[in-house]
Amino acid sequence: MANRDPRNNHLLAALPEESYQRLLPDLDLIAMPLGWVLYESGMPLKHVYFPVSGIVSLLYVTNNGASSEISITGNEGLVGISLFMGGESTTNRAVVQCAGHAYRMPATALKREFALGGEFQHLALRYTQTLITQMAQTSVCNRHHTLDQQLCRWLLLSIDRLEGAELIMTQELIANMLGVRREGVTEAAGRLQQAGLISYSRGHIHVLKRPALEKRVCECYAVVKNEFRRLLPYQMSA
Amino acid sequence: MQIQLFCATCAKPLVFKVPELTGNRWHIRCESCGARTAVEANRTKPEEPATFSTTGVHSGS
Repeated sequence: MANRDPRNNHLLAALPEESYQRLLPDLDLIAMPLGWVLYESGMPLKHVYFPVSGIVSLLYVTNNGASSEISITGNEGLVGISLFMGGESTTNRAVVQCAGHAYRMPATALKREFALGGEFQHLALRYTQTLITQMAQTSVCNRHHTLDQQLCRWLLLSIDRLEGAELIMTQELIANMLGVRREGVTEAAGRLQQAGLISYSRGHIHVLKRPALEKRVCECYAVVKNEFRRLLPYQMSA
Repeated sequence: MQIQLFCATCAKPLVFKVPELTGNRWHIRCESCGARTAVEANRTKPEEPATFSTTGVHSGS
């Protein structure tokens, strides 16, 4: 059960010992089942979440029910930046894309630690900047790059946040994340499979040739990853 | 609120806070007999901690 240690979240692991010990009593381990909604659009947040496994997607759902993923967070970050940014709520929805565990902390504890102005504040703000970069690059990618490239970017960003090279995800769900028709995902995934880059069967996606996938992806993956490495003192698994 | 769950093997009450996750399947280890019971998440409101129901013996494969 090693991945249930709070320090499997890289933000928590990067904290000085004094700061970490201050937060520890307020960290509560929770399960994050697939599809669980951490918060809805416009809902005042009561907790911040530090995933230690799994992936949380931030989505925007349009009036007609279509959705598009804005960003993803795994054990490299936190969910609930609006609590220290001052907005208390956001216009998007946070939903578990890949099941896992997280530590949640009450908003009061988060704000108290953030207000101290120490390393937690610095890490939280730098993480927020990486999130903004991810969101911005997603927008660019969706506008200018092919569905194949978008799928490659999404696969790589997801695998970076998981143990191993396997992802369990239906094509319908991927289509919702990318804001496209399922048929498009089927075709794009088929091309990647035909090229030997992935295997995809019954919702199990296995990345077979990561270097080849990184060559096929657009620049957006590297932009996000490099900015993350620049801003934060720890690395994701890849 | 999480209701009391019972081991699918020995029927003793399961003591747990958070289920474990292996290969995308949730399960709980029984402190009495050591066997694992498979559980699945129930639908909950946003931000409410997930609750679970038993579905049988966890095969572990």
